[in-house]
Amino acid sequence: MKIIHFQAHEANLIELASRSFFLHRTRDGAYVLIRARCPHRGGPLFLGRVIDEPVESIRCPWHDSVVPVHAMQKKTPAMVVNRTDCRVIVDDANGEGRVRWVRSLLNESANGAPCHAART
Amino acid sequence: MTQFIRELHGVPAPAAALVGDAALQAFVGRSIYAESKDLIHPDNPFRRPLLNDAFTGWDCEEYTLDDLCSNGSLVANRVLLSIYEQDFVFLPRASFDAGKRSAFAEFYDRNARVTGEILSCRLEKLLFSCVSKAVHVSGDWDVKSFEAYFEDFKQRFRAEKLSHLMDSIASMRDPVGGARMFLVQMAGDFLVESSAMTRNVVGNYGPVQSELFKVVIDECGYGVFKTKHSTLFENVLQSQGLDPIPHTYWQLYLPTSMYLNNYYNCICRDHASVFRYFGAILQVETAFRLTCEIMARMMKNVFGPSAHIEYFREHTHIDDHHSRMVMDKIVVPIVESHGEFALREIVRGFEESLVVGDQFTAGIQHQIDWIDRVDRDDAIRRLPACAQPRPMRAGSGELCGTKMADAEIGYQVMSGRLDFVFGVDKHLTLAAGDCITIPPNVLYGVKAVEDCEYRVYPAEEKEA
Repeated sequence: MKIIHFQAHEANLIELASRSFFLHRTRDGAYVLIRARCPHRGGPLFLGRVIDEPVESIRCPWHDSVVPVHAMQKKTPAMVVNRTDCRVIVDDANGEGRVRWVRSLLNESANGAPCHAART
Repeated sequence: MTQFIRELHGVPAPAAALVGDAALQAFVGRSIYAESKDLIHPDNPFRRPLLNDAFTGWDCEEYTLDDLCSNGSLVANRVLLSIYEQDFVFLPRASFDAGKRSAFAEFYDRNARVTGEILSCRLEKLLFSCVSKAVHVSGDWDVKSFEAYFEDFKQRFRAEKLSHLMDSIASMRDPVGGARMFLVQMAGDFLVESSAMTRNVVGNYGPVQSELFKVVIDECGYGVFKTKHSTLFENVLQSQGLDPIPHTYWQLYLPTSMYLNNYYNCICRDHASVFRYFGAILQVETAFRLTCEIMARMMKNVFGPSAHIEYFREHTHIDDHHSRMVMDKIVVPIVESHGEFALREIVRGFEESLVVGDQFTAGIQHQIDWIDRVDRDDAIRRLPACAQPRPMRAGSGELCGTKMADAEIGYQVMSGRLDFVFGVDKHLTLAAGDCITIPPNVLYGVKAVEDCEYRVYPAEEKEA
């Protein structure tokens, strides 16, 4: 096992050998890792939009599939965030792993303004 | 009662606040909690001034981490610690005269326990929501990932903030005074060491319970008073001329120092947090080996041959064992038997313990920096911009209980002499014509050395 360290304001995409994960801040302020690709056809979920009802979900930008955030948290690596200090624990089989910052639309409202859960 | 408290959690916030305010008034109305003319109260662990003249109530439901050095936090932590410590047995050592018997009866009064239960609901939400919100645990955790996470912590932990604080104390103009103030901040916790955690060795939850009991046995010195950890800390205090009776220096505790103590009381008293507690104790026992080394080094450096460091040496040794015992005999078995829910709570407790420890260190660092500045920096002898100073008068010997400055505040003595208290050894006496500006988040008390007229200059509110 190895630990990937990063700051929440410096990186939000974790790329492992098999798949990628996105650091998402939920409506209630919690940091969670979600799968970065849509389960339908692999669309980039971080470029989707968050919709609140009936449960917090993401609308994929490719085919408008709506996937609940809690479903996208299944089978994600163990992560702990202390204030903005993030540590993700991954299996060695996932290779070195890479973290980087990508632009996300998840925490922006439809008109492009940051919404209440935007990173601070 | 329990049902009532349960319902209190569900009532709308303003209603809960009203109930809380009524409970606060009922709780603080006892004479042991009244303001006092004395800064310290030797041999009376029940005498605890709670409110002060700057406290006007709590104006929010939840503090942020940045609010923890506020005056409201000071009061909240004082009240909450007094509520929690109703669970512990304290007795004066030297005498048990009528005054102390009365204080004893008031402290353990049944009505005080009932109002304390009501108040604690509100105070725990006020104080600890921010710790909970600072930590996020997610994803798929198992024993393997936790072991990797724990090893990573052990390898990376350097206690940088504590080291910086120790360096700051050693380089003060009065390092002995700074180190004594540091000891006082730890006294509230260490003189009742392991009392909070003993709440978790009762009940019946299998072999893990007995493993925790082994840690408690060490903490209690195997039933030998001389080797009890709190006795070792009493020796540390006495070696530096400080009173070893719990809470003699109650008015000098910083809110963040009590906060650390209260956090452990909170998670140990609420048995739904027992897994969180296992994580917190693992963090503390693992880190304490290094932090005790760092503290002992400072003590030897500052106090010289009079430094009594057996307390720290004992922990440097035994906490290596405790860390291993908690990990191998408590955490791993409990995760294997109680699964991922337990593990997530353990990780949460581990991380929350780090947050609370950081607040403890930061609070002392801020106070120590200010105390040193009082000795070095004439720039503090000014008044803040304020069009409307408040004229005040105090009779000789009158003490305004210690409080936290929530914003910059100035004092100017017009006649007589006024003593400012910033630490166990740090007093600054101002005479007629003298002035001082105290920065935010500093603990201070004001005592009239003789009949005195003075002006208070609150900082002008900035326009939004």
